[in-house]
Amino acid sequence: MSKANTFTLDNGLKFIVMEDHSSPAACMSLWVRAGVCDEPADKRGIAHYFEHMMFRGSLKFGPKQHTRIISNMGGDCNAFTNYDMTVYHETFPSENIEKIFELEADRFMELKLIKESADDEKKVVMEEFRVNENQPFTKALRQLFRDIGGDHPYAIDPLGTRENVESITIDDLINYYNRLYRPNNAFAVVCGDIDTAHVKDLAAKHFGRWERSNIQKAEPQVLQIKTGYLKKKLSFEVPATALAFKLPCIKDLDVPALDLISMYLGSSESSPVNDILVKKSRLCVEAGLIPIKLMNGGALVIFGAFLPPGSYEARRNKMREICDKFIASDVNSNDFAAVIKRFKSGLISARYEIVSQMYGLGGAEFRHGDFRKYEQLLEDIKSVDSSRAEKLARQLFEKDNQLELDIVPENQKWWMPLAGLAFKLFKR
Amino acid sequence: MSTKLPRAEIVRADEGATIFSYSRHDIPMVHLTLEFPGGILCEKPESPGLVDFVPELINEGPTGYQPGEWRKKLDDMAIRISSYINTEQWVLSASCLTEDVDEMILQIKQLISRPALPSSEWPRIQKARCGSMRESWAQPSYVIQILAKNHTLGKNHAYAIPSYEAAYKACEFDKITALTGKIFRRAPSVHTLIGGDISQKSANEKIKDILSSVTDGPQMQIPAPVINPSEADIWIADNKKVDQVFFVLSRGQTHSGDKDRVALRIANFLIGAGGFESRLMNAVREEAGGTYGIRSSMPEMGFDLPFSISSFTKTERFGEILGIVNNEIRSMIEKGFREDELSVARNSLYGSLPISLNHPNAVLIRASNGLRAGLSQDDMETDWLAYKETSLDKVNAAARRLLGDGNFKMTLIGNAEKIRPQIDSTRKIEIFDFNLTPDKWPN
Repeated sequence: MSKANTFTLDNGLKFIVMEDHSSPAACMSLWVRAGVCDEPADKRGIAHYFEHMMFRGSLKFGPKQHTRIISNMGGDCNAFTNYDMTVYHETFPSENIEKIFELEADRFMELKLIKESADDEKKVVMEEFRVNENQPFTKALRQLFRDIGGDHPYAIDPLGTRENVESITIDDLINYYNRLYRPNNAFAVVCGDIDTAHVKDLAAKHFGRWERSNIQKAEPQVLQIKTGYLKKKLSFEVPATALAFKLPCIKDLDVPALDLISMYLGSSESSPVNDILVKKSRLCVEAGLIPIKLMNGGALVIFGAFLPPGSYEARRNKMREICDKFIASDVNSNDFAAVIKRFKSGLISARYEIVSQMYGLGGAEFRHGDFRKYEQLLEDIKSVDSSRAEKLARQLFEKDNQLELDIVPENQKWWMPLAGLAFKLFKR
Repeated sequence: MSTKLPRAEIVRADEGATIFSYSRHDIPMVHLTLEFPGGILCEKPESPGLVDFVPELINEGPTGYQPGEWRKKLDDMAIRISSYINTEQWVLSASCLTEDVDEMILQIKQLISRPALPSSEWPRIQKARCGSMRESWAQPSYVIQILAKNHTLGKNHAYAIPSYEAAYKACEFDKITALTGKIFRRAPSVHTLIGGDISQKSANEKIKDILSSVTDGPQMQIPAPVINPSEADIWIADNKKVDQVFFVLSRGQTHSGDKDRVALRIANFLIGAGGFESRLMNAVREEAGGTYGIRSSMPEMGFDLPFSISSFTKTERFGEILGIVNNEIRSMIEKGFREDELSVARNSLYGSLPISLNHPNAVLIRASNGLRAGLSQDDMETDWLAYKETSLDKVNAAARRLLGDGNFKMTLIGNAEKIRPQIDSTRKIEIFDFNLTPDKWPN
């Protein structure tokens, strides 16, 4: 894999460029440091709504032209909004790179925000909201995050709330754009069949006049998930239980050690979480581990779903055993070697797709301020020895740092688990 | 813009099977896929869900290992071997770093020559499927597609037979093992795909080595599925908890290798598959703000399947949005598309293909699917070039073929009481509860 290069324009817009000439394709993304965390508390959903508006026309390109021009060249484009960022991306035949620069520069600098088109797009956003709310599982997760994370922006779905989205005005959108869509609040990643020197010229030509400003952001709040015990009735169809462990902000987190712990415990079918909870003990029908690493805190979640009857406590205790075993130094270097090999294989496989490279570099730049962290991922993981992993695990898996969570299906009647048990006994 | 697409090498093995290979030496990985005829088409109405368990049991590994032991061995070597099911094939897919390819081949040989199919794991696997289905069947977005297939293809069509919790509970382990025993056979219809950091010579040798562990024997007989749609024009699965209507409109039939396939693909793009460049997305989302997404689908399988349009919208606007869709359909039938629309579709379909063929598997699967449809790589290259040349008249004719007279079967999920006043009541309508199990769906 060739190394990425970088340069920064005078206005603060940083470019990360990685050349890959294996196919006639290129991709570009613009990462704006603006997400749910930057929304006013009474305008939840504005970051995502605004993302939609970025496709509604700019000075030189009318409302449908951005996507039309990219389609016409055989490319595709999209965007996503999450808690800390909004990312706009395209994949296209590499010969069209100048046009992509022109399109992106125009909407980032000269977006046309008009009430009529904002009202039309609001209806689309509300339909997106509805389709999520109409899936009971998704709705339940949204509720759960609120219960665990309280009023922290991380507990709020990027789609926002109905009431807030309905209340967003064109002035709100204009203010949001002017406040946050600035070169010194963003960076770009370009990968593929391109020439770095050419990209540099295009960057200066098309983005050079983008004016920086004094970005005003609220002091970030650190996420403090609930600890202790929580039982919720939600629109799940099967019972579930979880242990969630608080994670600090990324800047205070030993990320390579956490990645190693997560991969060891839960990244494959033979990892302890799946192997013990699903295969050996058969306490769960499905189980997994999810590390949620965000700029201002997060959580490491071990979860398991099961069919009744069954004790939530028994399952949580088994999860706790898995954590305690890790802390008790019951992991050998061969186990870590296997994890590292799988990780290496995944990194190598990602090289087939320039989009994977783009997200890897962009993610590292966003989280760590250094895209080279992506290039040295494997070395960083390899450098974690068992004592370093155990040290983090001890902090992480402290009982004071844990939330025990039981989810009861809201349709479950009190007698159902008993009926299930009776059926099993009778069948025997 | 490149004028040549990457190509697989294709060889017919003496041992049976067709070998597709594609070398790419800059990334030290090897990928292998074995495709045996069968798949979802083996499903029978009297035992729904059975086929889903076959790959799960195969994935438990070969004989000679304790449960979980084989999987750990592979995981420790970063070798990925996984069986899954396609519409028309049983698939075994594998990948590894170049240094481990001999071990990967050995493991594959062991697996297909003596899969363990452990009865000890059956209760766990069955329970897991039941749990997963219980959750999935509560989600309208999941159910609508299954419902639409059942409505338009008929209860007994293999592709439409739904898997659900009660069906999984009724599946019998012995029937699954009997079915599994018929899968791994040598024949020219077996496609073996191998690509990545491996030469063609070595690829052919390794495939032949694998095939030597597969027995000769009768190929699985897969009956051609028969379409027998439900009598009712409209199905409504009544769900009062949602404030949207999820809908699928279906009609007609297409299959892979159709002589008008290029024009049909362009027409499908323009109708609804082309995202923001399609008529329906433009009319329903961009202009009316009526949905987050609407798309059309023209499956290309070896058997006939209907063309469909699917979307969702706020319940109170359903009649209005349906009207917009119907108006657009009528306009496409009567007036067709414009040259400027055709130009974008052509360029998009033509330009997107070369940049999608990065991964060796993308090249190989394309060649394999093509051959199955009776198309050589030359044919597919011609198709690709034809995107640029297909006339507006041909595309409009293809659109009329897909859209017919504009009458579609309609499958809906939503509040039936609020939907009824918004639809044509002269059409035959069946209404039933969203939570009804599929065995009780209308005929």
